[in-house]
Amino acid sequence: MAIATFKIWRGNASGGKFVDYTTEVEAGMVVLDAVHRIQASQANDMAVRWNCKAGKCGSCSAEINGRPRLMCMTRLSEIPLDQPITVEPMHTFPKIKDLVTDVSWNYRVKERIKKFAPKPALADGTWRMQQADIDRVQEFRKCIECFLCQDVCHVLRDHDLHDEFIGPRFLLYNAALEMNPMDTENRLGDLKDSGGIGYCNITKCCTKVCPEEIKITDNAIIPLKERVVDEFYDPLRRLFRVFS
Amino acid sequence: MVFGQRAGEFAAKFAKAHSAGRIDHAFVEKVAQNALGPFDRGAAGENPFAVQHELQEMMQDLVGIVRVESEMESALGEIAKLKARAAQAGIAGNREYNNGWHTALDLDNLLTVSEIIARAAIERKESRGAHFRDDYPDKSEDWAKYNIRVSKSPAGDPKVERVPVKPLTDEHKQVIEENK
Ligand code: SF4
Ligand code: SF4
Ligand code: FES
Repeated sequence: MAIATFKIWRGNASGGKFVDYTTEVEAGMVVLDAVHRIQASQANDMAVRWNCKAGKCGSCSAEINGRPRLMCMTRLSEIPLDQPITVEPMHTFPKIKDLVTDVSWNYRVKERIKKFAPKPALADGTWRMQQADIDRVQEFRKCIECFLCQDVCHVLRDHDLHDEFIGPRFLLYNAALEMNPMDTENRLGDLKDSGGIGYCNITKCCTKVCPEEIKITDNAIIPLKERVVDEFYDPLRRLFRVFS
Repeated sequence: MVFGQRAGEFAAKFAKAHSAGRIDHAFVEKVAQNALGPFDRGAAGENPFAVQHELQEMMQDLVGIVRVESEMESALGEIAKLKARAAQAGIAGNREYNNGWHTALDLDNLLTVSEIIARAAIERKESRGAHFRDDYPDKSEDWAKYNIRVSKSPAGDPKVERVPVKPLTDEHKQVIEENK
């Protein structure tokens, strides 16, 4: 058993501050366990969102020692306990209370994305796909919507371009639809305009924080950028469009 | 999806066929007042997380995997004590995203469910499936004929009854036969 100090951000939309809590910790604990222990014994009214404690619901996103992470998947054994551990809400979204932020902007963004529009079924009534196509899309479907990638992306975090850029999570979502061979919709125009794909300068910060280890930048964003460039900026195609 | 569709379909039918019920405002007022009780008592009241934790530990100990009548009887006594403490639960702060308040409100339901589990398990004097009783380790032919139904008595406490299991329909019997 050891003693650890947590600096937890307490406050709401109008402001707040870090408060120190000292608690006993044991082998095998994760940050969420420690936060719960503090909540149960010293801060009953502290707000923290969680559901699964298994890294699968995406509810417990926070910034631990300055890094966007899931509280339920961050083992205390991975962090030095000899100095205070800071736990604060995600910076990119409006604060509700303590560790809880309002992530509803993400749902509004998602609603604007054109839905899956499947081709008619094959003659035998199925929608058979190549395994390679399934694997490609399947990686993107691992997303748990924790929005840690949105939190870290500088376009949203530092430049606050929430109205012009949909963020890595939704570039990924677009990629899953665009790369589905059964889909008939075209989302490249939206990606270029309202999606703001051009704002992404491939820093790969989003990939680094993704708890599902999705290669967001390499496998989703870069191929989408290539498609957008082909569609709108390829000089040959442009010429073709002028004369057709 | 099938059940969701059915539920929606019949709920819509019901709503169309019936007019809106009358709202008992005095009752609503009482419920709202009860819900705010933890704030009146404030941080000096019982810690709701502590009551929840003790209930969990106690149920694990006394109404857990291996069950005995005497232990379950003492669980009922513990539940009564915890109920009294839950009624004194207090919480600091306000209604804004207050996990402690939510837990204080949950206690009522947690205690009700715990009591129902204990009472029904005491009633079933046999072992069947996941219900294992050290004092009645065998499955009983006779008990196979009953379900246990727990309902709210007029006084508000759980009423435990044995209800005969409905005989299988011919269709069910046939399915069981075919899958033997
Ligand atoms: S790679 Fe693009 S989307 Fe990802 S964090 Fe960097 S700028 Fe944002
Ligand atoms: S892509 Fe990864 S980091 Fe982004 S929301 Fe999905 S799971 Fe979270
Ligand atoms: S509680 Fe579900 S991801 Fe952490």
